Amino acid sequence: MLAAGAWLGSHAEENKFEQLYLAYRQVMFYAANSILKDPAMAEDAVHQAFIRILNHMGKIGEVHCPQTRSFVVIIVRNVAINLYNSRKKQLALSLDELAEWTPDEAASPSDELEAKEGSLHLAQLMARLPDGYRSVLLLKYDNGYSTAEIASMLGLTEENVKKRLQRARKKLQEILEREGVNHI
Amino acid sequence: MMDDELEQLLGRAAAQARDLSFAPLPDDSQLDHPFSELFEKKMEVLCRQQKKRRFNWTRFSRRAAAFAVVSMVGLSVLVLSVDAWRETLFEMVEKKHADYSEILFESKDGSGVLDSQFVLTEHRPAYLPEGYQLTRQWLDASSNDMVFTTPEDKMINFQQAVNAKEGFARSVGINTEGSELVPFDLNGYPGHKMTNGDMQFVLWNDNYYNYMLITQLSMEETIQIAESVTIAPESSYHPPELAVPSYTLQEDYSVNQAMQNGDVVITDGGVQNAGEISSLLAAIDAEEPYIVRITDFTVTAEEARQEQIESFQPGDPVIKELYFDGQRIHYTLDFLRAHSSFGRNGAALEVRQDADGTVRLVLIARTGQQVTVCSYN
Repeated sequence: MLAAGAWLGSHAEENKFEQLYLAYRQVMFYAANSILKDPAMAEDAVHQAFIRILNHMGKIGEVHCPQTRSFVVIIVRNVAINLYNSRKKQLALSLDELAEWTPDEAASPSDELEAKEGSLHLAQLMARLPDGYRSVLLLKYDNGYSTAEIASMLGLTEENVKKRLQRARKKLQEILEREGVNHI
Repeated sequence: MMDDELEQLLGRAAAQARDLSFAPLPDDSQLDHPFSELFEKKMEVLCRQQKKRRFNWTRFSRRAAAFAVVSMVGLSVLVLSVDAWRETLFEMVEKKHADYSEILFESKDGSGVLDSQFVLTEHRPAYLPEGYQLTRQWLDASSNDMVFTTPEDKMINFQQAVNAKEGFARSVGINTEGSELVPFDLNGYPGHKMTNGDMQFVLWNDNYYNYMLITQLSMEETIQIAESVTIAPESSYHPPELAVPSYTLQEDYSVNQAMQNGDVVITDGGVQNAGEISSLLAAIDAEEPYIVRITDFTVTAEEARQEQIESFQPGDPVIKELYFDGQRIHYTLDFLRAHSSFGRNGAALEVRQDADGTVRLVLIARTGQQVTVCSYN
């Protein structure tokens, strides 16, 4: 017979880790390989991503939910981009990347009128942001992580995360104001 | 647009942005990448090591979780070229990642690995500060992982592993965020030390083994412990172990297997090997370490739901391990078929009898909280 309620700490995280691995290794490989175009490196990225995820198991809720799927994909993409850049000996994220980005690169809304309606249009803009900016926005506003947590997850400094958030918000705000989007 | 308006809008748009961002990714069911053997091995070891460790870290709180991370990141398998063993010097190689460093011990000419039959000779610190007792140990032919604790939950972790053995080698992952490994000489061998938060790390290697020591002491005392590491005397104490470790049990663990392994077995028909519970209680009274596994086939679906276990069927085996380390009682629950486990600990264990004759084994925490481990007629 068991009594309800764990005291002195539950360690379900260990098995949650295995569940995460079984549930998401394929999509994580797919996401990494779409960046690296190299299956061996992509597998390495998935392995590194799981090591990083281990450090944050306590912050993961349900295994099978869109936020968790998004989280593991963001992590593996971050690892893959770092691997790609280290291979290319480039900076992880060009500071000019956002300056060069324009909403013209965003998807053409299927329904222009609907797209002009506040959050959907903003969501489409967010979805098309450069990866490094979109990741921090999603981890903050969708997953609800703090800047310190995001910094640790993505291997950035807190200052860098704050700057990315600030720059992304500013860019989005400029576009929304220029387009006069109804955000109510 | 005001900043707080944008904040609200971002909050509302984030879920849609996530769906739009990842909608192009195919469903997992559409993907079937055949992962390489190397990848599978690395992940298997990562999962297995983590599962194995759960029996150790349950009683340590947030501070100790950092230790667990270090060790969970730990062992991974790397396939090396197979070659006849020959004595050669190994060197520590640090591969820096974003938030941790991977430490490898490589032979300097790239070919030295130990024969697959090589068996590790156990080493351990000859010096420990007062109050530390060996409470957990995992020892096999390739690695030795020891945990020393005090009644106040202070901990020292000593790890020893062969540098490289035919078929695999060990790498260690440690959290080097905000800190870095500093080389130094340890008894004439190449060592590295690092302070991260209130934890000290010392790593070193000789021609056979690499070693890691993690403490919450001063660096000076940590090095003193490291310098004292030597071959363990034959009479050295080893914590009690189950003949068949719980982490090796399969989902279809049966009554017969449990009986053969000497478990206390609880079924609707009653209890078998209940004498083991009496032996555990006697050991606790005598402050002698002891370990018992109870395999309970009578857990109900409702009880499983209370533990937030889904996909549970009545009659499924539930593994309940009770380990008294001489200081406190560790209780681990493992729902084999649901792949979920929990760790708790307690200061006392009592056998109680209900009015209807049901016998209950109750674990009591320092705080006075109680949990029924099992019951039987």
